[in-house]
Amino acid sequence: MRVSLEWLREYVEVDVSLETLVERLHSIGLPVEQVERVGDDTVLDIELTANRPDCMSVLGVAREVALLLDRRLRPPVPKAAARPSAAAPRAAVEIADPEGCPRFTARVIEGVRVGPSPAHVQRRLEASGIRAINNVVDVTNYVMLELGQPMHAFDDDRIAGHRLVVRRASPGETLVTLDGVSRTLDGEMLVVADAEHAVGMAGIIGGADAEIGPATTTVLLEAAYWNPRSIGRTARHLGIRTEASARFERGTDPAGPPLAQDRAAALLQQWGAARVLRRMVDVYPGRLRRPAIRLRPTRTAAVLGIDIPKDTMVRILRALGCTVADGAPLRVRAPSFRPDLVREEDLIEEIARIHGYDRIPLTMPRGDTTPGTLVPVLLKDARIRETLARSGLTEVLTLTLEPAEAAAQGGIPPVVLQNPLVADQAALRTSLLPGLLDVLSGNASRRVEDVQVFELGRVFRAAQNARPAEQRSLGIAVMGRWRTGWNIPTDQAAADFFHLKGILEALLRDLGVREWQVAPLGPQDPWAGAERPWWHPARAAVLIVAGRVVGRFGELHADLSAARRLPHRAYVAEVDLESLLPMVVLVGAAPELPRYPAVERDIAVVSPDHLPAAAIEESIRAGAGPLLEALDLFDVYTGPPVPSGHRNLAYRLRLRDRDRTLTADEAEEIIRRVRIGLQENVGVQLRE
Amino acid sequence: MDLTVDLNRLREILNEAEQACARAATEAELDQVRIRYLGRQGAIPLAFRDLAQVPPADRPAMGAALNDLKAAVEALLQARAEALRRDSQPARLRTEAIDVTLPGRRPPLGRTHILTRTMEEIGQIFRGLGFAIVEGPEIVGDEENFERLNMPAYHPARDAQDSFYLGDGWLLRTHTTVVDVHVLDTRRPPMRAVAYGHCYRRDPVDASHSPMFHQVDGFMVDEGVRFSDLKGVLMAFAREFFGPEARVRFTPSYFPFTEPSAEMAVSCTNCGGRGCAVCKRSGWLEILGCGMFHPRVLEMARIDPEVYTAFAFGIGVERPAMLRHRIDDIRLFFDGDLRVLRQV
Repeated sequence: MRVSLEWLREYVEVDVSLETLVERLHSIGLPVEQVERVGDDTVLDIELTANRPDCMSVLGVAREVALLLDRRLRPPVPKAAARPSAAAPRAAVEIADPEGCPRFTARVIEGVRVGPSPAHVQRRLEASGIRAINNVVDVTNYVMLELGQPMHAFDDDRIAGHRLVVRRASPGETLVTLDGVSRTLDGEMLVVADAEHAVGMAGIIGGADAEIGPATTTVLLEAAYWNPRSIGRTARHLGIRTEASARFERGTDPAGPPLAQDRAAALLQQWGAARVLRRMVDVYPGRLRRPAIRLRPTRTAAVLGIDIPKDTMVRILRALGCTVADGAPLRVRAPSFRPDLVREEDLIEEIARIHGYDRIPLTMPRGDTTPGTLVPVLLKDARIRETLARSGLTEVLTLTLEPAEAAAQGGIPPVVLQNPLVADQAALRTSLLPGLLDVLSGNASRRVEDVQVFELGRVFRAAQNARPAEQRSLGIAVMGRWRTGWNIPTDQAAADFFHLKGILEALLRDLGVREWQVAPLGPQDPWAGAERPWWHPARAAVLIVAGRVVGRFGELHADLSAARRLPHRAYVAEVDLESLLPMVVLVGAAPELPRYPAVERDIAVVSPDHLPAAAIEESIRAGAGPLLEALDLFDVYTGPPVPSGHRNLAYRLRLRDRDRTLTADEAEEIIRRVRIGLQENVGVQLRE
Repeated sequence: MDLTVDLNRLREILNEAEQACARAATEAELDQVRIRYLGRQGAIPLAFRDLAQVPPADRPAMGAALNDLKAAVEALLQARAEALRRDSQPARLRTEAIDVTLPGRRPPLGRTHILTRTMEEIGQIFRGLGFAIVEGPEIVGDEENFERLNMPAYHPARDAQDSFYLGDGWLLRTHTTVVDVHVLDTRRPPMRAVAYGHCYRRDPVDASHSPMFHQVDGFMVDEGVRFSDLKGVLMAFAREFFGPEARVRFTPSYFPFTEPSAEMAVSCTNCGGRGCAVCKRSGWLEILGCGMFHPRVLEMARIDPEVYTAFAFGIGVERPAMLRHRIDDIRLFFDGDLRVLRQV
């Protein structure tokens, strides 16, 4: 709300500095966003909250200033000539929907000379952000800005039958509004109609048909009180917000329309723009009356934490325009221009607001202090983030909104936005991978080619007749060198499949997940068999925990990599945390340290390339039995003398009996069983 | 043979060996000495072979003397070897010189996102004040997000929370205050809870608006909870988060779900309250909205507002993080630019 200081001073004496005024206004909840010089005037741009329609006027702000500075408010008084004239109304009004329109006033003014309004009026309008048009339109805007009561002016010669009806629109009825737009209305919307058709959207915008023009000589002025909810609904459905609708939907003063009519008529007369004022028609079938609110001083103290004397409360409430009947409790009737004051708490807020929030002390809650807690799932999230950060990954947060086609990949039904802002934020992600690819390509385009990132967030899935599903998910993407520094050979620094797998292994270990397997990503997998597969078909895997696929990882498919112009091969993983988190054990028990030495033996296995290392490992473990404490692969070799199509895998076995020292003979016996097992189970030989 | 002569001969060998060791100037020369005395054809092994010709009666004495000689020579060689190594060490180590000004090879350091850390930090502070940190869904119903917070359909306050609708009455939560509703429904007073996470509003993107952003929301319900307690708790939070010198200011505001409502500002973190560009010369930074829960909100959760009172607050996470780390564009949080994320 833009308020001209010069205008404000017409209603209240302001004898403090501008700085003090701004500071004090802020302290009662009217923060001044900006102070602007306009010619000789100063304009305060006050940020109003939605509960204060009374302050959407210069008089309303003046009322608060008067209260703040303890000055007398001088409201405008219509001049004597504007008193309702004896002339017959010449306008008939019917309210067909009293719920939507509790009060409607109309006055016909004859002998109107349309022309510019006085210069000071034009200046005040423009300082308030409203364009001056002509004296008739300007007077409606001027009165709205002054008193907060929006008005509308019709060319009375265009009103068929000189009769107005406030009614619901018939579904599909159309109306061309002042802005030239043809609107199609529904049966809930209120219109002001003449004997033939709608001439205005009630409380929002007038119709183009009855617009005031240079040739207008008879004007019908409308001032009404509209049901706020009805105006709010129509304005939103039509997508219009006007100065009038903004006030009506917040709730104007039901007592306001006659005052506005008199003020407008008086002004037009003063400006020499009107000759005959006919009598005002005021249709107000069911008088709106504010109920009395019980206000308990004890409750006020209990809610605020400060004892404010009852006298002070009464003084504040009366200064706000309330009528207060003393007693215990106080019985308070709020003024008609304060629709926000309906409950005891509303009055308590007003008392606190005017008494001063800064006078309320700082206390700590009484009663038992309970220890704070954290839901376990957030604790697990935190552990995952910490472990991945220790592995050298940086956390990213990407928008969960993405293009619909990106969300549709992988065959998961996406949750689609009904009212997206832009097409590339039209659906909720079904996977973290598209966002992570954006991070890879975005960084690459900025010449950051070494990228190790993860995101922990939710993915979404549409559901039939139910709340769409949300799942916690973990995504990882690595590309380029993960170690930096001179003379580190590329093969030891570049991220590859096994770097990514190692990150996952370290994570699982840190989360206390002991039992898991990895298997090649099958072509049947929804993410592998899609038209645009995510992963390199021969370099991707599934992570299986407790017999269930909980994640997929591997080298990004070359097509995707090329489409995003990635400078290096990228490796990505996605893990469903909803499946994984139940297996997580955050508190590990310390191991019992061994008291007897271990025996280490190295073995080399020459095996065909197609035989998975997991099968060989499994065979070694089975053969070695419980005394095998650790099994480490330390070399993978292909090339002579290993026959082609084969590779040499070198393992170190650490054998230990926890209760005694293992002899060399016993170790040899274990190796012998391993050898036999490898021969019999997977058909490979130990190299001697 | 005469035992005395032979023993003299051994003494001579020892003297010669001692001189040879002393003369040896390098480890290679010392090796030659070792070969001359202890090698296969060396003087001492040869002397052991000659032992067969010594009269049996003299053999034990002669054998013992030979063993002593061998041990003595070995000791001489070892002492000299050590002396040589000691003398040559400085030179040898000099050849191993490195340029200590070459850059180090840094271990890869990752980090969590600045918004994650900010939310966790705020959560920790409130946890210390006895709050339970909880979470809730991002997709919610109109009733939870608005109606239960005293914002019926077409309420003007909804304008500030333009929502993304998903059909069937679902929408993306516009504030984490909706989690308060879930907690109010599932627990009984007294309770203190805080929730944080993504929120969504249909605002055009610019340097200070993102369709997705983060909030921390919290509330406390108990008998006798007062507005002054809200002030005290939030002051404790501000001191902890912004530093012990932080000052706070509460001014009236409006939220449909709180009554009275307030905005809390903290003295500008950049200028300390003197006024600067960051605080638009006001000396204050608005950082959160708060108030006493509206009795309707408690009633809708079947909590009697005559018995219980409650305060609630909501903090935008991006703004304090931007102030702290001097980030001037909210979009930097969400585009994964490692040049930024690795620094903050």
